[in-house]
Amino acid sequence: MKLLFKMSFAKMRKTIGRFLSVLFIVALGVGFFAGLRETTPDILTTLDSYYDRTHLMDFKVVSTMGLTESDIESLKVLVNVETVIPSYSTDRLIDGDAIRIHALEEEINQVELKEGRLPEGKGECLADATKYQVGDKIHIPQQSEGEILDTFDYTVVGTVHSPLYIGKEKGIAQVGNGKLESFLFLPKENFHSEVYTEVYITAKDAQSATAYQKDYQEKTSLLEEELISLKPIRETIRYEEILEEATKEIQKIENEYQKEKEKAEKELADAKQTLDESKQELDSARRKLQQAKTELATKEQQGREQLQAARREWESGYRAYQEALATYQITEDQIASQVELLAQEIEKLSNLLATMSPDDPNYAVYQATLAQLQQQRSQLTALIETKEQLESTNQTITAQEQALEEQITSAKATITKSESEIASGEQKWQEGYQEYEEGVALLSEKTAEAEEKISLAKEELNNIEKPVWYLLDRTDNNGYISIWEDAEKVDSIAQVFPIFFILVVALMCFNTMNRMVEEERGEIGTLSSLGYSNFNIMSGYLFYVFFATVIGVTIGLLVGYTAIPTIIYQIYNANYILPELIITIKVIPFLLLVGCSLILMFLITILSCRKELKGSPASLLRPKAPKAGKKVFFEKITFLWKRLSFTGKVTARNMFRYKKRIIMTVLGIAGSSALLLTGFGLQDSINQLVDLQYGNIIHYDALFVFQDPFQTIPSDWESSFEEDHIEEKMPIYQESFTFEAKDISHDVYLMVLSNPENSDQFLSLRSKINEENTSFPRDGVVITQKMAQLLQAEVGDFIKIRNSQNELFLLPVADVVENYTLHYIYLSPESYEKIFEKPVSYNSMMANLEEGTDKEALSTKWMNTKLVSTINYTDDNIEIFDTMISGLNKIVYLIIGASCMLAFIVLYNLTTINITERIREISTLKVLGFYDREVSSYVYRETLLLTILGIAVGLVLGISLHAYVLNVAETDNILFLRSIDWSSYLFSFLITILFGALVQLFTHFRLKKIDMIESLKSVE
Amino acid sequence: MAYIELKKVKKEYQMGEVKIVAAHDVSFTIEKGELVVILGPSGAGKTTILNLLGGMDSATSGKIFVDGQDITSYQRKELIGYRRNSIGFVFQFYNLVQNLTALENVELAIQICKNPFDPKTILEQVGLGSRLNNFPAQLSGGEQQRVAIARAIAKNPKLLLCDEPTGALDSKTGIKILELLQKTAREMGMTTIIITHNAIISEIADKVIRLKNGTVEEVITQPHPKQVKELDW
Repeated sequence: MKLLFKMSFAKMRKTIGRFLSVLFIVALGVGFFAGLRETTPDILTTLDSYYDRTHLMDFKVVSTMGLTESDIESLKVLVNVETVIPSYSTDRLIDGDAIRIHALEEEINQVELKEGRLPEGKGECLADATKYQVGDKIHIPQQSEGEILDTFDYTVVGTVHSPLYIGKEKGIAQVGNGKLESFLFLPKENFHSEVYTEVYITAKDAQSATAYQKDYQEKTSLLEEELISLKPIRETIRYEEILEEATKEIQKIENEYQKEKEKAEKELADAKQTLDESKQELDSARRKLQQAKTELATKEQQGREQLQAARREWESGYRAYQEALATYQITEDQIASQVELLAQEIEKLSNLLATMSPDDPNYAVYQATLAQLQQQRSQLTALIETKEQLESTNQTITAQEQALEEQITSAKATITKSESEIASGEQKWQEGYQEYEEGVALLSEKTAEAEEKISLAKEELNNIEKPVWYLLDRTDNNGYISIWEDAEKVDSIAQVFPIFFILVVALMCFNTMNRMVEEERGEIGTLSSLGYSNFNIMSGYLFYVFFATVIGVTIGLLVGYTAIPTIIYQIYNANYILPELIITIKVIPFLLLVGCSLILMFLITILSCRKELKGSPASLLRPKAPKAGKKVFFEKITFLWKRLSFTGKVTARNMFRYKKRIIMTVLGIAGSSALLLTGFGLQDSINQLVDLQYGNIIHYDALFVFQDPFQTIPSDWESSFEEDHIEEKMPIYQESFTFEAKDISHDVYLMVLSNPENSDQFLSLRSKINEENTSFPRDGVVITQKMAQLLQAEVGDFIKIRNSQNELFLLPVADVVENYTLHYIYLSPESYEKIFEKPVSYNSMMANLEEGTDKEALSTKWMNTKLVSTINYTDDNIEIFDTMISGLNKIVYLIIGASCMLAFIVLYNLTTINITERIREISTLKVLGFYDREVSSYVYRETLLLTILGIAVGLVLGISLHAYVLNVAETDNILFLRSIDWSSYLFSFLITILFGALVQLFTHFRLKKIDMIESLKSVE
Repeated sequence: MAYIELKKVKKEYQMGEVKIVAAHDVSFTIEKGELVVILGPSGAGKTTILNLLGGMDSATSGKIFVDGQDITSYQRKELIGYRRNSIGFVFQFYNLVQNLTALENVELAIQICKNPFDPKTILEQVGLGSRLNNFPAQLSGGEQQRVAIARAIAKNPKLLLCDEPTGALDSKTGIKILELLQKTAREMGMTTIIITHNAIISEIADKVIRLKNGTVEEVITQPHPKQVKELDW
């Protein structure tokens, strides 16, 4: 036995090429198989240990109104909760980039320090290692309202990776253009707020579970259920708190308002009273004035009458006096002088008389004359008296008249004065009254206003939105889920490819071993004749195979386990920020693989040996009768056979002679080219997807999502859109629904197009029913094909969807349209109104942008208006999709690369076998003087034909394999194209041919080296 | 100048670190149309000389002239051309292509030659006129060797080289083959070299070259060679 092993070793040395070929075929097959299979578990282990190490939260609760201490307390008492850590975060625009600022937590979501140290003092922070460097200065712009930070200038003292940010795409920000660029971690003491912005929660025992796996889901689902049931309670409590607060506030305002109102009313009343009083005063004054006026008038009249009477009396006296004057024929002026004269005369006369005796005759005359004179004088004196009297009377009257006039004037002046007083009083009153009236009006206006305000506030109170708790789990983390999806894609590919690979490898090994045993029949015969048992002989081969397999599998596993996951991980690292890959070589699967490979290889060996061992030692010792040449069926078709060239005939005969070899060759090549075609086809399916989805179907440039719903675009927006040169636009209503298929809930977007007839500028929805653009039937909805497929829905069926409140809706399917990613339901406003029984109001808008529009500026502009909550650009979607699939693409490259290697090995192996089997024939040709080229082409012709045949079979096989892999790899929201581009067929063909040619080149040199003398020496 | 002349031919093989001298100081001449037997025991260097003459190997030193051409100066391609047009080989184990009929085996050889004979005629000459379309497996050893001879001479070579042509055959068949070879050489005037360890065969030769330990021991010219029938087996 020892000798047999020695022989085995000698055989390995002697046929080192064959030994290595078996070894490497095994290594390649097993390595590729194990590497691909182990990639996903390795990534899982790496990720899980990263999450465990950094204590990644299981859940995060965010509330629209923030979280209070009592919220936190209520979370802490949940049964399945492990830790509850309230924390803060805020989104800020720093140097134009949206950055999320977190409070640094010690117990949860720990960061991994890449450089620098943890912050120790104020003004120090940690920052994203992919964007910042230690020593960077960061200024956080202060918010005018609701600022929760107390320090705004920081120095980066350490750069970190955070398990919260695994993907390079960090998600949505509340500020700037809506794209979260990076993150900072500040010490928690820099945050000051009445309420927490978020709370991180870990579930009991979840850390021991493996992320993404069923046990993790099981462990966390208990807590999730609790959280889900707590959510409405806390929402209500918080709502009531807020409601109470608001109600109190309104009460307070109302009270104040009432007080104010009363005060104002009282003031007004007082004013009114004063006004009334002054009005009365004014009235009485007016009355008095009137009285005074009347009195005055009476008095005036009386006075005037009296005076007139006095005047008349005076006038009659004066007339009498005038008459007397006339009688006395004297003028007034003469009277005095007359009297004087008379006095003088009287004196003279008296004097005369005094001198004259009373008897004197003249006396008596004198006497009489004297008497006359005296009478005359008394008359005149009387006249003077009268005149004087008249004069005084006149004076009196005049004085009286004057006095009266004066009296009247003064009375009138008084009246005028009081009249003007009254007038001004009146005016003042008027003014006062007006003021009062204004006051009243103001009051009523103010009252109305205040009342409206209050009622509005009350109404608002009714409308106070219930605070919403957003219950987020790890999937909120953008990279968390996509890295897993990517890893699972590898797994799904690993399900199919390697098995195919292994099959080809097993075939090749079988081929090789078969050949080896056949070649060594002489030796087998010798051993057999020496009395070695079949088992002994076989064990020599098994030993050979054991060595080749164990070494091959070990190399394959070691390389496969390390290289393939590393390469794939490296590929993923382009889109993610991941920790170092942890490569685990699990002993049991390792041994299992070694064991399985050994069993397979042993089986192959035993099968190969059995045929030879069946013969008796003597027959084995005799050279095996060469496989007899014979006419092939083809020769019977004489007219064709005749036309073949001599070498053509040889080729044809050879091909039909070695049927087994043909089958092996064809299968091997077919396998390789099928793998190649599948690889290229996958690439087609993946890449065409983006072009079709975002080139042919969804081709609007941007989707504006508005804060508030609207019926039509307001005109002031219109002008703003004009500024941005946005002419093609269409409001739509978008809402997210879910539907259930295969026991899994899927998301679907309901899209109500305001103007379906003109939607061609934005969406091209081709019906899968009649291959024409869908017409948006009025009596139903248009759904996308994958959704239809999942639901097995056809036109005329009803589909069930649920909204976020879990309300069920039944929609009649009117059409099914082409679509490749995500699910959509399209419908016209009429259908929407019919189905949902409410009018549609739009919340989004599709738009086409002018070439060269600065999207960031556009986003920033619109988001600053607070009208728009975000703008989604189709280009960004394409980019996201591209990065998403680029990983898959690269894995496809890996597969293509491996398939190329396989193709090479297969062809090389087959050609080698072909050469060794026919070495005498080839040597004979050489001896006969065939040139190297002629010898090669003699051998090639066959291989070429077989290669082409193999490729043809492989391409047909590849189509099914491609379809199968797509079925496995396809996720529920993606529809891969089943079609393979003609270029993929061409590439698969050319690559296989190229490897064929490469192998032929090697073969050519090997053929050249064949020692014809040596080969012809031995017995056949 | 002789038709074939070897001058101080030496052939060394490098076997690992050891140099093995397979032939050294080999000189002889052969005239056109001569039937020559190279005789010697195992390991004397017979096959080495035949291989050098047949252009299947190159000499380490010395000169080999065939029909005035120095074949030791030939490059690989020229050597192939020389094999193609000037040499016909007959091996101990026939080396027929199993997948080709007798006729096709001959055709395989002549399709690359300049002035070949008609394969059918040749096969009839060697007595296989009725077995043209038989595969080697359907022929006896002697018949197979005849096909091999037919294949060699159909090329109309300058030199027919036979390496132990009867080695694998029983004596009766061997005699027939030797008769064929002698007949061919005489009738067609073809320069024929037979190597053998069997001294009896050498009696039919015009010239016998005895080799021993890689060098020429003796060259015997036999003006009256025996007919094959006269040989005493």
